[in-house]
Amino acid sequence: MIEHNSMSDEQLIAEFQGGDERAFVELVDRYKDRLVNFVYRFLNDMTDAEDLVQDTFLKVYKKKHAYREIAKFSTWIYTIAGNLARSELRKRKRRKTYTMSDLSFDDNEFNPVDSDKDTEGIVFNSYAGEEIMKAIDALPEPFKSITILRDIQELSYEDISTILDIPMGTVKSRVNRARLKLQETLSYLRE
Amino acid sequence: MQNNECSYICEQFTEYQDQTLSMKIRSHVDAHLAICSSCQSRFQELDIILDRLHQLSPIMASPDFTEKLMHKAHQQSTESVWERFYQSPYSRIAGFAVAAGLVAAIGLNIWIEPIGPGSSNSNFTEKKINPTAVYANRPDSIGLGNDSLQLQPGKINSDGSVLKLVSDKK
Repeated sequence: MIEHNSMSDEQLIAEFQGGDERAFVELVDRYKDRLVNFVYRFLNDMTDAEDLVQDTFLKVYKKKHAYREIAKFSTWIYTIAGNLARSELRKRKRRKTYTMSDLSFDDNEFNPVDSDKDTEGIVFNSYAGEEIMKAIDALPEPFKSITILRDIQELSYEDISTILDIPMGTVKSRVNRARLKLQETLSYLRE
Repeated sequence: MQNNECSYICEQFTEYQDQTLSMKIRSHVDAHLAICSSCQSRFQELDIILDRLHQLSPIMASPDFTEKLMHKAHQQSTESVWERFYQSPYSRIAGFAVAAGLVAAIGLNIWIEPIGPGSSNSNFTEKKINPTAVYANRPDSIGLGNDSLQLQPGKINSDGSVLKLVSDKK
């Protein structure tokens, strides 16, 4: 008999669909940190992030038969968590009484570096995690998700394409634009 | 023109870093970077930002995360059996079916064996009994049509005080 810890995610979910709850616990242990990390970058609140990841796993628990082995389990669970995180963000936006418009960007707003500006001697070594997190938080939604998935979670373009349901070419171009926007946001740190 | 060229070069950053650019475009980017200090700085900055992003301290779930989750999951699964039944359209159908069955059974029973005196199919015969007379003639026995029940001292208890009902079919 194969041990749970040596099984693939897809084998584990199949076992769980067959009624083996220990397979579900193994999946939780594999993904809880990754998902909390992922959702925390969206919400910037540890309690909310944990609650939302719990909801994600509860959805998997209740709707285990909704999973079909046409997609990787990882992309499936990231899709659920991502959708929940985005809907939580939307709820928060509706609740907000003030606007963050001064921090947000439009998709077409990016302008290339002004070539006349003397950029020599720019040092970005002083980036602190907190400043980067603020900058990520200020990114508009499509860029925020993509930055978290690609540059923090280090998922493949293919997986991101499945999770966000967008073509691979769009993923690559958004990754690039998101990085450039992040750079723009952090430009105040230039010495 | 310089601005457009720089813009084009910046758009290639990710693929340049992933080393997925074609040889032709890659050498074009390299050539531009060699002469454009602005883009060079930009690429260096992006490298540092990416490096910092990868180094962000990982966030871990709390130690009792799994325990809490499994508790919630079990709680929900026991609730959900009833919830699922209650919420399902079949529960209403089942409710209507049970109610209809009961009404039909009661109706059928009344139609076959109507209850109460005076009905045309009644098997009961009305007999007026004077309760005082029955009480006065009571020989510790009760008459029921052709049967009679007699009260006799029982021999169950040691003191012999218990009465028992004895059926005496006539």
